[in-house]
Amino acid sequence: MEWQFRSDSPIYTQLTQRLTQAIIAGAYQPGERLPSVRDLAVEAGVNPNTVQRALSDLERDGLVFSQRTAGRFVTENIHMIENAKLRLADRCVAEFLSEMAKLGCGREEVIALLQGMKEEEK
Amino acid sequence: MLRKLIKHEFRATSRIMWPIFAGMLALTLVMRAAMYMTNRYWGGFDTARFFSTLYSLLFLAYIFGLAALCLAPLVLSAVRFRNHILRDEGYLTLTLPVSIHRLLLSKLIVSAVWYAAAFLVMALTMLVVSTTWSDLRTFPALFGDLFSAFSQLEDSLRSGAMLLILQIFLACVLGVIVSTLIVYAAYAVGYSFNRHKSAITAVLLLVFYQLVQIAGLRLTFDVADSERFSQAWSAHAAMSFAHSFFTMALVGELVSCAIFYLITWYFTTRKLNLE
Amino acid sequence: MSILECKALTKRYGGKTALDGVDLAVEPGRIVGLLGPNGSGKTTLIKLANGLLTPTSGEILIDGRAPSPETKAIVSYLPDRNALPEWMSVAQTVDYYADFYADFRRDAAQEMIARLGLDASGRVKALSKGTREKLQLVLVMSRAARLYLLDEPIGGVDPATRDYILRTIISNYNEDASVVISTHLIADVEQVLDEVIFLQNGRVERHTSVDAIRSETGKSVDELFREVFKC
Repeated sequence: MEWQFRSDSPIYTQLTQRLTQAIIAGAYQPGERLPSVRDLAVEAGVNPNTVQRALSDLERDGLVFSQRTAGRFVTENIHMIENAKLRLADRCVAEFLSEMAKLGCGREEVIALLQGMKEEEK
Repeated sequence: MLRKLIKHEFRATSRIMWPIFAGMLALTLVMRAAMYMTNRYWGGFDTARFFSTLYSLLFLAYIFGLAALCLAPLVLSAVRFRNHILRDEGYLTLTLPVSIHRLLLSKLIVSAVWYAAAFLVMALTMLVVSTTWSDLRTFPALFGDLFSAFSQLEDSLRSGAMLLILQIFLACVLGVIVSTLIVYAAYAVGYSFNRHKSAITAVLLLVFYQLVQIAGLRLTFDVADSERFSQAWSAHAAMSFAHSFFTMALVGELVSCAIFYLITWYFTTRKLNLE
Repeated sequence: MSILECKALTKRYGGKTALDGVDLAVEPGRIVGLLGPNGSGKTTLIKLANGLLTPTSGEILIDGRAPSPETKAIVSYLPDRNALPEWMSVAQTVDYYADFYADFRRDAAQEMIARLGLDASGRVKALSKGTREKLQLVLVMSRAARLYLLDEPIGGVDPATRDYILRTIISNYNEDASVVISTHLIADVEQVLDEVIFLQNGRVERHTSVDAIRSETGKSVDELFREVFKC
């Protein structure tokens, strides 16, 4: 089905993020060939130029490399993927903390809440 | 591209024309059979009367059929022009990579071919109605006589009878094209209006035909005047009149063709008003 | 060179002005949304590009040339109504396109028609309105044209059909070609567009890239459109 996009930022940045997540989560394995621009565009229901732009961003980040004729592949460098994961995780945590700050929760309180949740799960 | 246009024009029109031809031939054969039966008597039942009534009815139908056969090519080319160019299909037709000239030419050619075919079918049905097998065997001789009479006439009068026949033939072909173009022009102008398209088209049709008729009569009188009929009537004078008349008629038809073609072209390009 | 260019393009019908001095250029390889409320001049612009209308003044150029049989050979046009002859069979409509357009990909058309589950010998007359629209789109997108002009391809269709239509457009258009999609349903097409042209009362209100709108205003094209055309 068509992917959903938010309206407040360009579609290509959201697409870059989406593809990064897919690579980190292993939906596309290291060294695996990515679908063609056209196929990705059809799958996401977006313009091929947008996909092109998102893939270029991923290439710049080193998560994807292209071989002239064979297409685009996910990097085999696990560290790159690990780094991307950390960067994204950092961003998620920062976003989470800023949301919690809006509720007036300090760092200690957040940690306490998280620990409380962990114990509940047990 | 002209070849493809003609091919598709035939594809679109033959699905109407073939059934009309087939129907007419079938009607003629049935009528012929009924005619045959009226001369036969079978005991106990008044078959002759039954078949002669049937024959009369069929003959009436045949007369209407002949009229329909004459009109069919013109009506078909009118309906086809309207549907193919001026209505929704026009969005496709007029965005094909072909010029409007080729498009009109293909329609005129196909329409002329259908006229010729209708004429042949008509001749064929008349032959079926009017002849018997024994008549048919005299045909070669009949045509031979006609031909020798014709060549004797040609020799004795040096009248250009051959030329006249050619003139008459061309006049018929051009006449068919003029009447088709009049229909096209009326539709092209009528459909350039936003409302009352059909009504305006109908009025224009009458006006255009009337104008051509008046111009034709005018021409006939002019030719008659110039031929000075005070002279003694002779075969030569008649022939000379016929030659001048058909020459003028051909010129008149060519001029009409040009006028109505230009009107059609102008209104299907510059004044096109698809809904 | 621009594939589609308008220079001071003006079209008047009687006393009404449908297009008023439009200047715009569409570059190759772009998918462009021609957006505007009903009566803003979208259909007039597309008809002018197809040579179905002649400009009152100014000019419209396809690949540098005024509309002519040569430009029609490189433009694939989807009108906002069914233009396929009703008496034809599905296979005959394919023949028709294949005969007249040198860039028609018969294989692609036949494959898409098979996927729609259409019987090739069935008549166009017998198809539902929605199926006719799909068939027409399939034929239009089966051409490897340089410019696709699609007039309201998603007007009044359900979401599943809309997805089918957009997918058909994306997966078939030639990558060096441009696609112009006219619509008043912006939210539905926004994701596939590179650029948008806002038309209002026959004038170009705005011509910009979708990314620019989103990163500069933080709004989707649809949201911006509602603001610009607020009544």
